[in-house]
Amino acid sequence: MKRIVLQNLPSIGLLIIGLILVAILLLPATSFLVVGISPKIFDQGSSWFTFNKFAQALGGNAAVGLADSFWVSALAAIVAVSIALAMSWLFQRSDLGSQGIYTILIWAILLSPSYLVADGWQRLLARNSILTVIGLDPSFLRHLLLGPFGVTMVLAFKGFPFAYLAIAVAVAGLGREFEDAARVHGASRLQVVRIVVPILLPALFSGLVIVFAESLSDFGVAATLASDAHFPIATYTLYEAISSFPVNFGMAAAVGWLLMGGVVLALFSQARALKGKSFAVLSGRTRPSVPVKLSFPTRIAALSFLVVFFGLALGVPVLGAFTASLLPNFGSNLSWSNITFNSYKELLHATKLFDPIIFSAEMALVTATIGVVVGAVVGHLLASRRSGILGKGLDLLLLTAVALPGIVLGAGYIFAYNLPFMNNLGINLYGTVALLEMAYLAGALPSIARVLVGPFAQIQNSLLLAARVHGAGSFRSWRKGVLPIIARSLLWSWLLTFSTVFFELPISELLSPANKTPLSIAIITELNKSSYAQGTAMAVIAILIVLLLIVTVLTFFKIITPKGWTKIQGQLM
Amino acid sequence: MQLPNKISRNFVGQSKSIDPVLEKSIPSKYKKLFLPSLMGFSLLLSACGSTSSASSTSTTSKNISTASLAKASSSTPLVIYAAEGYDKAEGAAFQKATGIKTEVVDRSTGPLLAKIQAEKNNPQWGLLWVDGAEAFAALDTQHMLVRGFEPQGSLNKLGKLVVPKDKSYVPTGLTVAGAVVYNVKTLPTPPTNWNQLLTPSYKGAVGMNNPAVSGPTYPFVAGMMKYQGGEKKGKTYFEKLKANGLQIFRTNKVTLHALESGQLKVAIVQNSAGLGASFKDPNLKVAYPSKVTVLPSVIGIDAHASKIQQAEAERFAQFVYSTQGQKVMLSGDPHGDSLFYPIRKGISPHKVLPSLASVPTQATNPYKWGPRESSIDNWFSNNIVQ
Repeated sequence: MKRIVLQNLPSIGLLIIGLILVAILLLPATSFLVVGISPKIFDQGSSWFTFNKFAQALGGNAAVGLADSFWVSALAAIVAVSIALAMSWLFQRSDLGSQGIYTILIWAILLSPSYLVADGWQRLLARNSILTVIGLDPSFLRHLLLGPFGVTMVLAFKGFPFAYLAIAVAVAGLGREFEDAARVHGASRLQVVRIVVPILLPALFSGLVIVFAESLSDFGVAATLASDAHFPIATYTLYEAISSFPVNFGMAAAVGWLLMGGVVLALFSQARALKGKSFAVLSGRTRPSVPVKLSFPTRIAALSFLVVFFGLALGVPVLGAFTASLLPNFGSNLSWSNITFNSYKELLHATKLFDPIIFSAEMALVTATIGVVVGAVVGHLLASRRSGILGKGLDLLLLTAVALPGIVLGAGYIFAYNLPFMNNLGINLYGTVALLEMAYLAGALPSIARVLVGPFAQIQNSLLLAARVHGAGSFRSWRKGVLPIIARSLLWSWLLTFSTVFFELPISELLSPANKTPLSIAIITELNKSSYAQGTAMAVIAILIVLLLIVTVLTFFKIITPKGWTKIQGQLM
Repeated sequence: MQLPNKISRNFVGQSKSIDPVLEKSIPSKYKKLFLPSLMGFSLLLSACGSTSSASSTSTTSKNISTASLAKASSSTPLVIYAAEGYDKAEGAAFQKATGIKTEVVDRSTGPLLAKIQAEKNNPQWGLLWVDGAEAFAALDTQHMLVRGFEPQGSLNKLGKLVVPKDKSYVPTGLTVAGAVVYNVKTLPTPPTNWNQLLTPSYKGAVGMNNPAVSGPTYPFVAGMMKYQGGEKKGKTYFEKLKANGLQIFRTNKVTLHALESGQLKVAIVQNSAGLGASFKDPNLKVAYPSKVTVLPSVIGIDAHASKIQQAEAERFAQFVYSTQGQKVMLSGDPHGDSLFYPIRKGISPHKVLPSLASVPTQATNPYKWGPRESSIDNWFSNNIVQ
């Protein structure tokens, strides 16, 4: 069935969205990538056309790094999607209860920067850590953590929320009729699973691809765990190319090309698997599912699974960061006599924390708001199967953009927006808050769109048609028919963008204006100086602020939205 | 034309603060009487003496006065890219003293150099101030720095050693690239020369940063290669160190963390970081085996900046050399970058630093070792880190 939703979008709106995407994403990313084959264009070398940089990116350790990146990210994606599928079923289709708490926990994982998760693990397993104090010897685990196992684990933890966002919505929206139909025809539980899982394929594939792309581009784990483990991964090669001087942007660009190539391959396999099928299940006739009653042993098993998972993904990093912030100096030697709240006391009396928090909060607020509006339109376009080549191009652009690390995007912004002829035209964007804002938006948009594709893909046109048949205008049918279903996803996307921008580091380092200090830079400056405890305390305070914001926004949302909305969405997120 | 220009520049440079060394040596009752004429004399002397050193490339508007610069700075502020703990304090003090509007972009060295490189076809910076001369030597060979400028102020012996021949950058102080930080509880007597680290008593107990990630570590590696008698012998030294269980960490913080937790006996890091850590843990001490490599903090001026901004930048470098500027450097980051050895005569370092005469130092030639940075880092990554 063809969709009418797209027709409702005025073409001028589409044009604006297209221009925004070109300006914030395509132009800077292309500018950076072009340096890989033509360094002379931006004065980064002597050749107009060369493949030398690719030879560098595919030689020696760099090749090993690339191969490692691919298999580690693929494995992380499979692990994350499996956990997300299990958890989606538990939260959306069983009577386990307390979803509110788990929702907060999932979001807490999403918003903790990956370097913090990695660092927390390293702290827990370090010598003289809390484990040693209670008499355990973590040396075997330490060995395991500092290697492919640890890197995959942290990437899977960090990717899990993305997979969950893609899958939970699909599981919740599945309705009961498919299971009922199967059961009526005498299918066993296992057979029901075999029938239902293919219906979830788009969501599962979205989950796999997004976690794969996010893991490929992750910088935090590359700069901490992988670097300490001396386990070469591609982002680390890229980081090395950019940190030595003269900076080798050409090689970094070549690595960028290869990472993007990996995502294109993943997208290609996704397209092949889903070719020619529609997976729209959420229609005007969808009935909410009845939660499955869990038996006592299953319940105990489910709860243990949750406790272990959240303990590993969240408890350990929080414990690591928090104990570090309570200890003097480098936080190495834990004992009761050592514990002090001094770093917090000092921080609360210093302005160095407040200004960066306010600046980053403002930036995050603006980016999140614009990002959700643009992201919703883009997510909608992506979900629409009618969009043809344009839609496919858009999908490709956004997903490959996920695979480009922030530092690449930041440097691309300098190439694209610091051209002499722009200054001559009177356009001086580089070094302004506006350009930083654009880059933040570019960094956040691919993830938002990806998160929103799932919910949009599930909306059948019958919902809108029904509204139109009953005489509602296109806006009204959108507001009444579609908005209630996607409102919560929009809200979560807003919160996701807010927290990502709040903690964003590489783009901030390259593009923030002289007199402004984003929070991430304030934290890293503090960490690099001798006051490690203060730096960690800053990070802990910042995370608490975001968590508080999330709880407040969610509560407010629950109060102001009509009851029917909650009902439609079942127990979504 | 050269003479009056030079005089006016010198006059502006010195009118704000009179040289303290000069000031101290004159009995106070004569100051009023003698100073103006003495100053005039010294200006004339310096003008005559320096005509030959004035390079054609340092063509900044030498006849621009501070007042007119201050006025011009509202449209062309001085943009400083800096990674020093005291940079913001220095920028604020400079702006207050001269009225010249100053914007400090305070980031880590890596991102700053990446910015400069990415901006190459349209530079936005006026002055760069970071540790390590190697990057400046590389910028200079790409003709990206103003040559032939040297602020007024007499330097000590070590200071003179780190001034480049073409005066393309200005050293502002010295730290030690790789010093030994140890815990007196676990290691009562620290090593006195680097070869001791190859002995069994240090097996598996030595740690250092990865030069490809940590800024001040490459100068240590280059210095060690020089000390061992060249790149080849230096590589052999690091291979032996690796065979003796050398551990590599990301940055100072992580290496010092490993020392604090007892994983290491010896952490090789920049001395200012070690001294900073010893403020919080008095058991941590810093030792200087023979020989350690000095690591200058360095100012370079953008050759492609406007003449006004170049003049402002030169004024800034002059301010850093003044007694007032040195005071700000020594107090701006008391547990970090302020723990340096001043190179201006008559300025004393923080009292936690041992006398410079007691430290066995050497300096490396950044023009020789700078261009080798990426190949040596790469070798280090493939052979020592792995």
